[in-house]
Amino acid sequence: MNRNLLCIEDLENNPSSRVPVCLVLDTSGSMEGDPINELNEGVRLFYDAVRSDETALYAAEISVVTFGGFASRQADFSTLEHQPEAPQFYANGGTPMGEAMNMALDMLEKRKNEYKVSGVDYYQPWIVLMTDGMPNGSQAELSRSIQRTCDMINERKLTIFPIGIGEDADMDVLARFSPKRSPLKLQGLNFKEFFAWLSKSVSKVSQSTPGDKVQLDADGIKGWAEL
Amino acid sequence: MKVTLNKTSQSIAPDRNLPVTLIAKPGHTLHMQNGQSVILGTMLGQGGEGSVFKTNTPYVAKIYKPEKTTSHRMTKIQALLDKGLDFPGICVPKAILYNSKKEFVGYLMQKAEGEKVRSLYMKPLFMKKFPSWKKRDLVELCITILKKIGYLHKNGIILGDINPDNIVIKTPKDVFFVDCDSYQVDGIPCPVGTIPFTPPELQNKNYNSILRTVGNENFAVAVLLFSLMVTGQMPYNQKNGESAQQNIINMDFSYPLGEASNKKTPAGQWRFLWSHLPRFIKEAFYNTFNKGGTYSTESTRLNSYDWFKKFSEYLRLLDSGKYGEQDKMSEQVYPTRFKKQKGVTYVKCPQCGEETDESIISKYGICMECLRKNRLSRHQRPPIPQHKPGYQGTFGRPARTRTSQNPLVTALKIIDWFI
Repeated sequence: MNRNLLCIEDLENNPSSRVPVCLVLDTSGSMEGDPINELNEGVRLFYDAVRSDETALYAAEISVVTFGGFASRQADFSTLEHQPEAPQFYANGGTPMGEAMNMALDMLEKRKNEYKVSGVDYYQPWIVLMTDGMPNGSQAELSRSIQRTCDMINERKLTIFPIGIGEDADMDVLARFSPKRSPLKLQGLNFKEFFAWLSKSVSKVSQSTPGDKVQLDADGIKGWAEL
Repeated sequence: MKVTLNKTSQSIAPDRNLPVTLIAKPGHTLHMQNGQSVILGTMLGQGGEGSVFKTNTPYVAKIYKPEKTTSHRMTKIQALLDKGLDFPGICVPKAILYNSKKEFVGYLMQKAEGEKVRSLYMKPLFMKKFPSWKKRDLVELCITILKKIGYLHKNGIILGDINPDNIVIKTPKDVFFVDCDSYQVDGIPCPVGTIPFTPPELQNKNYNSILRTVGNENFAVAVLLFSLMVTGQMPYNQKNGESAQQNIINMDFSYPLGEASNKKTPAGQWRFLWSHLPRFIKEAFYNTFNKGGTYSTESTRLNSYDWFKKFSEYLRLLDSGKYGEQDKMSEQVYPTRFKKQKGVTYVKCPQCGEETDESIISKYGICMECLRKNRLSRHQRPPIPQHKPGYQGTFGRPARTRTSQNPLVTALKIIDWFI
């Protein structure tokens, strides 16, 4: 069965309100070595954790876009029931962050439309943006993606978690993507701690009701962020 | 209305934290008001407000997080205790628990076992947890739930926050109501609630400062029953609609009654689940959820006893085999096509083997559902078909066997399928 049918059929078979989460991850050449290994391990643990939570398994739809040389769709929005394996990343190339964010926003728009057409309710979508460097793709794409992201956040249609990795992460550009929430810097290479926190937050949201305010675990942030 | 609301909020003394200096842990001895003691055992589970522990009694103990022990909470638990409630499966407080420093830490209650209603909302999870269930089991579950709600209402208690996480199911007859410490009792409001279970008249109101009426709650009861009958769907989820909240405010109900329909029923099999319900149940839901319906306002909504009678009749029809006579598929939880109608000829679809209305098949005899799936797998997005009066050109056969339905209804049914 092709993916398109599967993803639309899933919306028809499973009416659970969806929690769309998109991971937009820097896989540029500078991530080579420990950073990319830890990132792979963190995302794998994230998938494991979401899969092992019965509610999140049928509610959370995870997608992944990487930017290393070019923007690449590694996984489109789907519950982990239908897409159980975490993608593997390899570090390579430049840092086209704007292109990747635009790709993520396009995928999100398409999926939101599918929710709407099928009559499936959804929670405010999340984008996790992680980088260890400075964007060096097209300036126009970068500005356009920042504008789109900020507009959606200001209309309360998106939540973004911008996270810098290491000393060279451009925290200023992350801040431009996030009008409401200051970007955070990852403690060392604590990807595992971050993704454990993220999966817990996803579980918490998937057990709430769309539209409700969900208090995220602020203490848990201390385990992975430099504060 | 506003004046009344202000009055209500003024009459409630401000809430304050009751400090706990000794956190209760397994092995600790706790005390009840009458001097009896209980020993905390292992932790059974954790939630947003606190944790539940085994004890050396048949009951379990809910122990609040220190910041959650407030004067309102203690007053409410005392009020619930004073009611002397005793009904199997309603896990109301049985005694307030204090630590050795005489600080309020939690309460003792009946233990709940089973799966949350939420697990019925997800088809794959439902089929895993309750593989043998038939429609009758869901109907019996509704009856069990309605008896409990009726008991609470009779005793002047409003559940307030009815939702899929505070009802736990072991069997259709063995059901537990949990998180009872939020119930509205003696003028102390239930401070929480969720959008899908909130009636239109209370949307966007602050639950901290209002008292719900039984009429308000009857909306939540109807939503719960609907979500169990059209298993996992909320009455106002709809395709191409506005937000769920706005649909509730507009009372834009997504399921049809006869020819009356907003044409926004969610895609998928949900229309089949709806179609197989008895007419008197559909009428009750339709008139509750649709603007202007006979039971659509706070004062006219059906109460738990009205629903109890209807569901008891439904169960009787199912268990006697009468209901399955017209269409055996009505006895299943997830029917895969519309309920069979009298006067319509059914033929088998060669692709899926399901029986289907002879008047709406393709010229190769393929049913609409298979045609739709074939189309979805061919195209990136399903094209919006052009529905012209001459649609028979595509769907071959003349409607010669259709005696009870007028052609317009069938045409609308087909259009509805594709939108």
